[in-house]
Amino acid sequence: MRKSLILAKKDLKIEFRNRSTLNLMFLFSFIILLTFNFASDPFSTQLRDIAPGLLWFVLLFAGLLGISKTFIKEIDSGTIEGLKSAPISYNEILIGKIIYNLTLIIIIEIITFPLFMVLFNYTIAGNIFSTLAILTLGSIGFVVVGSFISALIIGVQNRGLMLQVIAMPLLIPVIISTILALREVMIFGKSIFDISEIIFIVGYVLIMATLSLLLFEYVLEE
Amino acid sequence: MHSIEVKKLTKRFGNLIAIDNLSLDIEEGQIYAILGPNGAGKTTFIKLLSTILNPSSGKIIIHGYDTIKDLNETRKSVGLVSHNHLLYEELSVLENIKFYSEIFEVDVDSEKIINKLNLSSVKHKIVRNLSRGMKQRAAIARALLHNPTILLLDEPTTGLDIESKDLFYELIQELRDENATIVLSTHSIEEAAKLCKKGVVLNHGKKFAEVDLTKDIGKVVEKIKGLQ
Repeated sequence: MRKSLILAKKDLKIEFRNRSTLNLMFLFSFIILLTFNFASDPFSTQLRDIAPGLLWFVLLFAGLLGISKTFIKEIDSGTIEGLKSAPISYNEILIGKIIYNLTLIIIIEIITFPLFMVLFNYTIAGNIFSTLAILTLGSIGFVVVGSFISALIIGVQNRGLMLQVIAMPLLIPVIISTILALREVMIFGKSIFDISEIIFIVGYVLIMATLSLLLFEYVLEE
Repeated sequence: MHSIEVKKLTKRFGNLIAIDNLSLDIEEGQIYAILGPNGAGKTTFIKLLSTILNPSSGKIIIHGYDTIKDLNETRKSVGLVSHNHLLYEELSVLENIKFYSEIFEVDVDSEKIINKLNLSSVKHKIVRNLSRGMKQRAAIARALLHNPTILLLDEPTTGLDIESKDLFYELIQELRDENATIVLSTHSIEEAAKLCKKGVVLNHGKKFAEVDLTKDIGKVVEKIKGLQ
């Protein structure tokens, strides 16, 4: 775990130095929210119904932009061989990349969420922290699957497209249950402890994390 | 005493056999050349020695450690310098050294290793902004930071100017004097003859010949030309 943190710290240092991925993710989120803001009436009840889904999809697709680069940078620069010849296990590499990607998504979540509230004049019926917790939990499931798939497609052409084609079907369970859980909090004001989908998301994260860790060695091995 | 023992090593990539039933021993404290034309399997062999790749069959023993069973011990005793410098271009030389020393779990004196490789003037510079020669020196610093007993060099002078190459050769000879075992993969017979006494010629992943580079350089050149 310590080496995973060292790897994530290194990736974050590089990202904060050039901010290329963060800027791209933020720009995407901002443009989508702004477009929907102009395309809809902020006071309509319809918007209130679709808002949890909109918020989650903005984060999801912004996250995909970041995750698609997870291993590509290491492969293209050849530094993956530096890691593979060092005493760090493949699973520690994967966990490091998951921590890095999750940190990026949480940063975008922290910026996008208030922006969404202001642009759509949205009042959450439930607890704001519960909403953020559900978004973070859904993001963990998304990042675990996304990081694994981004390693799976490193030898493939059109990697960005392939990531979405392969990851999306696997992500459908976490996408739907996160939207349902968000609706319960944002529209119906339920407490996070009263939402059954949370157990499903936690189970999904555990299963996918276990599978990813078991299979990752075969993915990274040439 | 043998530093490296390679026993019936084979590496397949699908239907392609990159290393084919290769066996050889490399003695401690020598610089050993891996020669052969393009596609002979030199880089694959270095990647197998450095544990970047796993063998399809056969085994490699490095200082008594099996590269599969004792993975971390093997990695701690091997340093790799490739034609690709394996450094993070967005980080400085010092940051790269610190990152890898944390991964190797060694309490390295960064300043000492930087001074040894004459990198003091560029230690805070981003690797991307360094010359090819400086990048290669930084790559050697990265490879040596955990005090490996075996140094693997894969086409290390590719793209270097004459001055940088000479500096590199001096450094390698210094390391040999410190009793490190060095495996040099190169397509340049002149380079191999300058640094190594013994070597092996690979062709299509097979051992074509073991050669004594102190005596029969002409024959080695002919042999490799014949392969090409």
